[in-house]
Amino acid sequence: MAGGNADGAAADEVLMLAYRDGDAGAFDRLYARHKGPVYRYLRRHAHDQAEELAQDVWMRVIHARGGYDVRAKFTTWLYTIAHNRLMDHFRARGRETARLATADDPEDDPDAILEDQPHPDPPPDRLLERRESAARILAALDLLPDAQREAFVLQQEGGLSVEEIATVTGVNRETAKSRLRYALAKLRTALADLRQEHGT
Amino acid sequence: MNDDPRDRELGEAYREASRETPPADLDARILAAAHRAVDARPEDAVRRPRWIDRFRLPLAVAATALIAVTLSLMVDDETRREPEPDAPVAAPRDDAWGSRSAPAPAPAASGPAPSRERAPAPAEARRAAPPAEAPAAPAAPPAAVRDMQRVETEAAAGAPRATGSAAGNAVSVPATGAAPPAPMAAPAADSPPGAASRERAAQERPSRLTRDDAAKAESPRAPAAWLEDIRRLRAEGRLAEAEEALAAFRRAYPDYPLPPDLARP
Repeated sequence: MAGGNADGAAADEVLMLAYRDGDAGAFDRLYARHKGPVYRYLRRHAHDQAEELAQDVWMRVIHARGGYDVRAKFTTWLYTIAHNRLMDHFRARGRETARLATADDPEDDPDAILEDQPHPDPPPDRLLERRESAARILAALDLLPDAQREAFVLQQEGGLSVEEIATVTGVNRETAKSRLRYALAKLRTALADLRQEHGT
Repeated sequence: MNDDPRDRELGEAYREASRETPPADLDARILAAAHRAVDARPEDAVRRPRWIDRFRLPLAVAATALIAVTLSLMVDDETRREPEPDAPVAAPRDDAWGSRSAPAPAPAASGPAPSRERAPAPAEARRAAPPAEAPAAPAAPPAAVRDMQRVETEAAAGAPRATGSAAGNAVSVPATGAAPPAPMAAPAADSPPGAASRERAAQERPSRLTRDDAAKAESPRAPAAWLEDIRRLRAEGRLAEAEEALAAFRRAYPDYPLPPDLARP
């Protein structure tokens, strides 16, 4: 996903360094690799504004190339830029700025929710009919609190670990992990009927 | 990493559903911007030759140092000149303030009076003259004979400025006790109204001063006060005494123009 191949993570940094040093072709490859995930990450939160935000994110990458150095994984750096742009977007629209950062659902106990679900990893062919369930999945995702949705999308689109999600979103590891668990638990609950339908 | 919450089935289902991609025109815009950014680099390098960057700081430092040295030299030069203008400025003031100031004793102490008066004129004449003229200008009207009271008024108005130098001079030559003759120089030199007459007076100053010095002995008072006494004598009807006093005044101040009321017998 993030790198697109086995050595993708390392190659990302190499490509970015090459672009910094004047290799425009390196950026082409880097962009081709990450344009979809970044765009979808933004789309899950800003919907029809995603195109504008994606352009801003990549322009920031272009402008920051001169000072780029490998201090972290490229995707961590890239999604930090995207996250910050998203926060700017919410601020500009008068949305609560803390929404992405603190919008957990304290009333829900993710462990309890998870315990409610059997999720015994049934065989793939018995789980979901992917084509039919795509709309249901995206709709369920859209119902999640922003912070939980962001944690899930960063994991799925960016291929980030809990640690990296915490870095990107500016929270500690436990908070990031908790958000991810909330997100998974709620999605399972929301899609339980699909599981039943296709799983049993 | 291993304990990351993860649901493989959900993940696969999500990725199956999430397949949007950015529009092609967005791709084109971003890639074009990325290429432009890279292409712009060499142009910048061509436009800004490196030797300028290398020498910019040293050149700036050198220019600043040059300006600083020039300014300090100019200030130093000005500082050296400063005391000289002060002397001629003080001199006319002393002259104008007559009996209360002390410059007059200097010639008496040094002997040859003209030499003291000439001091500002010959050597530093060029530099001393302009500043000397400036303070002398306000002194001219007071010297005008027609309005002796104005002399007193303006003298009083200028007192604060003059007292400084006068006091300084008084301290330097306290023992001479020949203060009164001093005013002679100023009135004599400044009495003719107008610049031309003032210049003429300045040229004639040495000889007049000599005569003035000779009259010092019998000129115990300032001319203005003296003339005022003569007026008072006349007003009281003591005409003989008034005439004597006037004669004495003429001897003491032969060049001093008499006010019209006193010029009449």
